[in-house]
Amino acid sequence: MDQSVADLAASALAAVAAAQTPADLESLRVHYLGRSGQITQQLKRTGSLPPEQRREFGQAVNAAKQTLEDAIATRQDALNQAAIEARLAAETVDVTLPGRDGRIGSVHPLTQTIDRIARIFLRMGFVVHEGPEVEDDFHNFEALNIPPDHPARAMHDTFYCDNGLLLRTHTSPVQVRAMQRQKPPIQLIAPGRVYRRDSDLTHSPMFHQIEGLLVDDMTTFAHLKGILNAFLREYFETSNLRTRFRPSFFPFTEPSAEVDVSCVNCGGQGCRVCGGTGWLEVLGCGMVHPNVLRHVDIDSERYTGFAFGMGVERLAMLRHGIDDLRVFFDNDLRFLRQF
Amino acid sequence: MLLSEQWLREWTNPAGDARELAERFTAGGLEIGHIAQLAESIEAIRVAEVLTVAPHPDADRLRLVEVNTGESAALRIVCGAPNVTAGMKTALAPVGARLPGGVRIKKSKIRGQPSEGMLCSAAELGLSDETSGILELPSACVPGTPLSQALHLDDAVLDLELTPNRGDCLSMRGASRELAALTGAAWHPPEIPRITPEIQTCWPVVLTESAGCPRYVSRVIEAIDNTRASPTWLTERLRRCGVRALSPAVDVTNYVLLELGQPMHAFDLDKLEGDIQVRRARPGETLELINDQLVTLDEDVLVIADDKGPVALAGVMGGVRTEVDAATTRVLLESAFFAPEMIAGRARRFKLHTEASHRFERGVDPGIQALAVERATALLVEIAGGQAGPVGDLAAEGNWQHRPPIELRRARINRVLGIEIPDQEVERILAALGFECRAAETGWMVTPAAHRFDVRIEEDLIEEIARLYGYDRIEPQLPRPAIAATIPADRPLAIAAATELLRSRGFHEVITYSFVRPDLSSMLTPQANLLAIVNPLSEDQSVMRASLWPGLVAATQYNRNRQQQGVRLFEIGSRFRNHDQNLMQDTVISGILAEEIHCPHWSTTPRRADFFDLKGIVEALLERFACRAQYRFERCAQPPLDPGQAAELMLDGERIGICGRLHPALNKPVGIEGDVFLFEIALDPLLEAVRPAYRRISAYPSVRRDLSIELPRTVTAGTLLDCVRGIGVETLMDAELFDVYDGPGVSEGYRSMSIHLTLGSDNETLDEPAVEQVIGQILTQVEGTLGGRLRSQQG
Repeated sequence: MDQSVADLAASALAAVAAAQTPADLESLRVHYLGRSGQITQQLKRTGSLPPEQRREFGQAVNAAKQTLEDAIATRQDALNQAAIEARLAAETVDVTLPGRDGRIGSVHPLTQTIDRIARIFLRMGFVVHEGPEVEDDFHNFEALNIPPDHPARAMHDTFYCDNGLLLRTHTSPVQVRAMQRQKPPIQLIAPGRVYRRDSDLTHSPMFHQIEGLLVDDMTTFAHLKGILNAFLREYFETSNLRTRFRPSFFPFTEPSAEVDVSCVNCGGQGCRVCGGTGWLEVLGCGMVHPNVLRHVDIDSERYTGFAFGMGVERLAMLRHGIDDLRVFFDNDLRFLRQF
Repeated sequence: MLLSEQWLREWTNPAGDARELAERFTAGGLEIGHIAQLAESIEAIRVAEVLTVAPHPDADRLRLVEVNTGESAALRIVCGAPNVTAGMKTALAPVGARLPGGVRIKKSKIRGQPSEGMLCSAAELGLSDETSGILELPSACVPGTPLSQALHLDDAVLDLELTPNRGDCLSMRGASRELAALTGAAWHPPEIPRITPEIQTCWPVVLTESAGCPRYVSRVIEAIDNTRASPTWLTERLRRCGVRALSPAVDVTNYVLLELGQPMHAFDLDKLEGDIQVRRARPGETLELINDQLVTLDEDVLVIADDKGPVALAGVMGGVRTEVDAATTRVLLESAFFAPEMIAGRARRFKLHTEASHRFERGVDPGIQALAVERATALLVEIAGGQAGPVGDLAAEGNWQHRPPIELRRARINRVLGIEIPDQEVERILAALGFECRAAETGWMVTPAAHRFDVRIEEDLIEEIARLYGYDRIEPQLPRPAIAATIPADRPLAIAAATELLRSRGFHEVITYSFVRPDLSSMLTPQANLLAIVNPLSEDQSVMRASLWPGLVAATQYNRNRQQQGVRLFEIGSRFRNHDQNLMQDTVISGILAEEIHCPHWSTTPRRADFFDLKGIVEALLERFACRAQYRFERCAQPPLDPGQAAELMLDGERIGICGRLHPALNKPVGIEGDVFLFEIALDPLLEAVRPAYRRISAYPSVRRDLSIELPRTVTAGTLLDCVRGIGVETLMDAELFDVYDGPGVSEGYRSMSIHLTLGSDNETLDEPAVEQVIGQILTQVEGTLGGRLRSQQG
């Protein structure tokens, strides 16, 4: 092989290996392989050689060219890689630093409880209704079979407004309004704020209830038990939850019942939460009293219905292990952030 | 109602301990709230006999006493009670015993004399309020016997929490009758003999209001000694049922009330002036009650009166003028049946609640008045001596006790309960309740027991059957869905959407009281006509909120006081205001932003939150429900907001909300430092926002131009955009503001606003002359109406 080609190739490879930037490399490429580059010049020289030398010389130059091109490409890759690595190194962040605008707020546990209860009933075909919080005596009492001077009024210590209306003492007026508006079948739940003139460790003058009502032409007490059992098992996420229906009294239902569940804290063994009884009272219910149906012009011979009502605070306390009613209304951020 | 287990068992004695009795009651719908074991607190107390009493050498009021406790050696005790006498039997707390109050008895020296225990008063043992001396026990008590045994204190007291329908169980008689029906145990009411009159004195009674008082039974008893003390067995029973012993005449009427459920009253006959009249009060008549309360009456109230006026509020409370006292020797016992509707609510009207009114308004057994008088007579004569006259018994004419039978249909039982109950079972249950039952075509005709005022209709009978059959025996079923397809209502979904949006922006939902402080309310909603609560629990909760801001501000202040800096709170709920005589209650979405530093982050320079942080949140909320073209913000001056940083929110021309900075002058009054931003938006208008109409996307590229326009400072961005959009050229697709500048290069009194314009057509690519024509139109309009000048144009 021609010594000059070999020397040229060797010096070119050395230069490529020493190149530190893509720009260096590009000028080397031009210097050796460009239109008038040194290797290109050698190739052009082939034609002027004697015929017997042309073939060998040409092969040598081409081989040198190929080697150099490969070397440039390899070096190019290496420099690119190094450049990327340098950039990455320079741009490395502390991934443990807090992100931007990432904090979200919270939904009040009572709202979450209402939503959870509503979702369970929605799946069972109930529709959410609402009603006014400032109510009249008719919807809050009379239509619910609680005439003036009825002893049951003493259980509903009522706030009165200066316009003669009152703050509803339960969510039951919503069922009256619904039955006035539509004819059976009616299947609703009504969550909302209610008010009673009572304030101590276990009573808040404002609290939340969820009312339920189903009126149809074949509704029975057995259905009431079926629906509430299904709801309570779902709410407490306990398939072996035991329920107990105890006879009770509400003026607007007959027969009436209070419902206890086996204590979700101790499983029924008796503990501080259930006062040692193994049972927790969670809701009141019953078959809609014929007088209530009469007040809203629904034929109680043809239609029967059941109604139930539950305290949201109590259900939220049991589910989240909250032992103080007042924290719901303090609205302390340190409390709210936990939900 | 407190029930002594011992007493109850005299009437019916089912198997099982107190706890099991409680379970039976509870399962039958008569909830037992609490069981108190009486002997528990005085386990260590023993009967002791006082042997000798000698003066204490160093103290005038103390005595040295030797007592026999049944052991061979007598104990030496220092005692201060004035009534300690040799030979008496009393209660001893030996060394090591603990008294109900928690005191533990130690061996001690009192003024130098050793004392090996303590002789106790009834109060110290928690038995009564009697503190005047040590307890005197019957002489038959054996020293060393546990006191609980000597006093029959091995008793439990069951707290029966009755629902208002079961007034018939407000006595030993009623509760035991119910227990017998629930357990199947025998019921044996004690024999109450008739007392033969020894004197002939009768007191005339005039019954003018026989509808309100269909029966009035009375009896004169003369020559009683009301200074005597009632016997321990009686006062003990009263005590266990929560009633204090006073004097024989009063104790006896209280005892009969507890035993039979019949409220009674004893008048001092020597203080009565003329005939007893049962009548409605006359308007303006007054009566001083035995609790010293002076009440003014009206015709709606039934009274017992004599010639001088009312002497008792019928069925509620007696008057002070004819009250019995220690000197009383002649009494008139009253045992009446007052109609529940004549008594109901009357006590509450005078802020009273008595054992008598509690029973009468629920209904007293109408067949028991004479029996109660006989019982009271026997007891009073036994305790206080005296001679009884004949029983005066006045009853309304006609069959006032008659109760029509109620039809009970076999099919209806099944229809309501969803189960079949065999006929014999139905009949057994009705019989156990003492209801008369006669077979009829469809089932039965049932006459409820006279004392069951709550049983009036077929459903009441069905409840009784279900109750005694056992609710637990009714097999649960799932109903077929009543409504084929459930469509979730819009409002709850909208509320959930707004909640989620605000939460994702860092807001915490709060629930604040609907009633608020009037001062805070008038500060934060000065223009609203407030709805006030007539009977608030406190002044702080005396008006209904006209906005959710008072609650949010209070919650913010609460949190700031607890070192919480960045406060973003929201609430969705009702507000209440009087509007043209009508009450308006609507739901609003309301929020507060009170941050010393807006979104603090390690990468950014700290800055305060400002109006536009608030506005961005409000815009996001609006866009969740409406499209941009529908709403706008307009500057407004409305307290409590800073007039320079307040906007009202217009949706389709309707004002639906307001947002802005709390007026800085209010920071101090509301107790929050730093800027406070507030918003409140009515929910319902958002639900009505229109369904978006589709506009086809043009196949041709659009053209963008940016204009910077110098405008007088008085021209708002909204005005500029309205002006630009208002030229009414179809090819102007969008105009948006992207920069505001008022530095060098802008004339004094002016500022520069830069807008992006997007132009395009559905049919072609706009050429340069077409674009220029629109730009020209815009500039002409802006110059002509707003006094603007083009600073630069790019695109």
